[in-house]
Amino acid sequence: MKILVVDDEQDIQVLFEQRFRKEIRDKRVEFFFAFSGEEALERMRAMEHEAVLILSDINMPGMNGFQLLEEVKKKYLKPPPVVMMITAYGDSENHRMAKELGADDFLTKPVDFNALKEKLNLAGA
Amino acid sequence: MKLLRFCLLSIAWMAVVSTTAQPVDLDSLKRGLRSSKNDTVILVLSGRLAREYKEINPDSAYHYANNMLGIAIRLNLRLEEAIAIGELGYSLLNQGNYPRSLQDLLKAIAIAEDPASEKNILPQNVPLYDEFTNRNLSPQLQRLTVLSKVKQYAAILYSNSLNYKKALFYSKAAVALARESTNIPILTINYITLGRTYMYLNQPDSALQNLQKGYDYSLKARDNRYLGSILLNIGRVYLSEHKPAIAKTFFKRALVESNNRDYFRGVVASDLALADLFKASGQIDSSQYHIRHGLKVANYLNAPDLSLRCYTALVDIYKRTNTDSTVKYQSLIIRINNEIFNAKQAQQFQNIDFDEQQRITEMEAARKEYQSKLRTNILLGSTFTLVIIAFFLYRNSRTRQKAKQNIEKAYEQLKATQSQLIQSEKMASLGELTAGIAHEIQNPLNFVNNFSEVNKELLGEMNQAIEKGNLDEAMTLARAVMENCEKVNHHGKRADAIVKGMLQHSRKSSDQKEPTDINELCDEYLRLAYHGLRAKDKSFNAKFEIQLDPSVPKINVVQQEIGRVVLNLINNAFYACTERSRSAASEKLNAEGQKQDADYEPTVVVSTKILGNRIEIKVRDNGSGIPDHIKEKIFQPFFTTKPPGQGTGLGLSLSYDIVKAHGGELNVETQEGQGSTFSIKLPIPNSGK
Repeated sequence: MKILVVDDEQDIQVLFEQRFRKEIRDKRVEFFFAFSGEEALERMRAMEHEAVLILSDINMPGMNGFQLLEEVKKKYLKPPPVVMMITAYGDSENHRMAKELGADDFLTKPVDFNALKEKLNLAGA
Repeated sequence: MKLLRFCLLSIAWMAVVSTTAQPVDLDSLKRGLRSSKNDTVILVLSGRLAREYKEINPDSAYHYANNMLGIAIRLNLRLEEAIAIGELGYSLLNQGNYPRSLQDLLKAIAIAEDPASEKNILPQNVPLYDEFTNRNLSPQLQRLTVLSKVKQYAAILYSNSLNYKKALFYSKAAVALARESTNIPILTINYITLGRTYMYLNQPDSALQNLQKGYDYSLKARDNRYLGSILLNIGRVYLSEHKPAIAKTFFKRALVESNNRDYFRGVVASDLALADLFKASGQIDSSQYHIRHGLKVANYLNAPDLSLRCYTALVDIYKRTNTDSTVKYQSLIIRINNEIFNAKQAQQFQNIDFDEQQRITEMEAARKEYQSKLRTNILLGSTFTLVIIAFFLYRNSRTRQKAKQNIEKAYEQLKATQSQLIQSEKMASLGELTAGIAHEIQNPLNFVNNFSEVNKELLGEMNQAIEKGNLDEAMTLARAVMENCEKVNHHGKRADAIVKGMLQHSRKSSDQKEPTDINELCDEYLRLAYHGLRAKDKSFNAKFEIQLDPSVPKINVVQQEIGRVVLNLINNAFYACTERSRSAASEKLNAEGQKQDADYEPTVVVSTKILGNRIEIKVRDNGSGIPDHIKEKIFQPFFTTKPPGQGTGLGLSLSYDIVKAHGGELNVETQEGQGSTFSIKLPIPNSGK
């Protein structure tokens, strides 16, 4: 499974690589990282839509997570990739907005990686 | 030579000053003002322009009166100074700034009360500002005219602020002075004010009697723009006596006359009076029509008091015809607005009233002191009388002591209120920050929690590796754990700094200057501001850039204060961008307008730079910019362009004070529709090596 993680915090890469180190070692999952909405779109293009799952932060300078979500869900006519939003704001307004724009799931920071793994069907391995 | 100068002057007059009764070409007056280098010509032209604008545009009237004041002071023309300050007070009154108006009017009264102001007056041949000036009168009578006029303004001010007793006091004094001055136009206008005051005091007979006198004189005068005001007030008196039909005819005439004579405040007042009548008789459409007309004029006049009255009337109408919740909401906003307007002003008003009392107390004290000295001289030599004097002086000093204590107490209260006000402004901006802070804390927390959990797992794996004797693996794992620990530490500190910053922001200023990294401070507050706005408004989007000069040294400043200034400027910058995007969005809707504003990219840039022996912090936005006519007001306390309840109007004024207190400068460069750049310049102490 290819997952594109989008967040403007650089340390997110180390965190994901460590949190999923076993899964990565077992080649059950492959991570790509983008540090802005724009970069994420660029990557998607380069990966020729290979990513099946996008994990995106909402609050980023420039293009934000919602705009990215909208763009992705609109552009990819075939089966669009699954998009999960990760944000520091757990409020219902954000939640509703994400759902409205077609997000498949909604997680709040600090991220519970065990829960995330369960959602990704990677748990218990 | 003198003759030649006189001739030149006369030509200048002829070219630019027309007689009062004819319609005035404002442009030619302004042209004359621009081209003239003669102080007296400039004085008179400014006075003329102030007169022309006083009832149609208080902002412009203020500007010209201020012009006039500068020259009057330079030429040491005390009486003209009183006139100019009086006009300043009158335009402030019409702008709804009662406290400053009162301040100016009291100043003008004090000057005109002093007979010394008769000494240096303008010669007879100098043209007049308005129908109230009459240079043929003796210097004393001219002074009384001015005094009467400024007291009349004070009466209007008090009556607008609902203090009718004081209004009556000033109005009566003004009438008496006008009579003494033998100046008929000033007497006329004073009868109107007196009549109006009686009306507010519910004394219809006295009201009508005085208004009638005003009316009679007014018809005789060749030019009286306040005829409409007389008619309006007569109508009001009839209305108070339950004669609505008569009242209506007066109101209608008042509307026409005020309109014909460019007395726009009179137009609004007449519209509102008619609207009230129509509403009472159930003719809602007609009522609404008049309110809307009045509102248009009031907004054009930039008279908040009148606009407020129109809005209130409008909401009142809506409430009857339409129970829509939006309308209820609107009425709520207006009520709040009303309250803010009143509360704020009332407090300042009291402060100045207090100043006036202090002046009176001081005058009284000086008078008593003089008396006591006189007595000392007469009764010197007699021990008996000395005892009396001693007693008198003792009593005197006691009253003064008491007065002084009262003043001090009031002053303390004033200071306490002010500091409360500042504190509440701090709390308000703290509120704006909290959302940003929540976001900023969750992010580091995400790393702290997760990296520490990962470490636990890694240490478990390390144990296994050691048990298996796989030292290489164990060492790799140990390195990873160490790196993660560093990350935990780093993000923990990050959260700590945010919380500390928040506490500091709300804490009362310690006035403690400490060495501060200005770059770090700018970076931190830019992020806070950005995320704060993002959290509050989901649709908010803007780019930000930061261009820091690494050679900027640490300087000694009160950190949270300078931080507050920077935050305030950044928040304003983002606000200006939002304003412009909003208008850009609406332009998008206006089918392919030629403006390219549709691809507007809101951007805020914060930069630092060394400028000689100063540090310059710049906050630049490409937002809506600041229109010229308010550019000068933005640093004034309570001035805000935000809708009610959204801004205290204290942000920039506090910022200005803070920067000043640091020995720095706060400036703005702006172009409407293009954006603004605020720059803070702070001195670098001992920058020499």
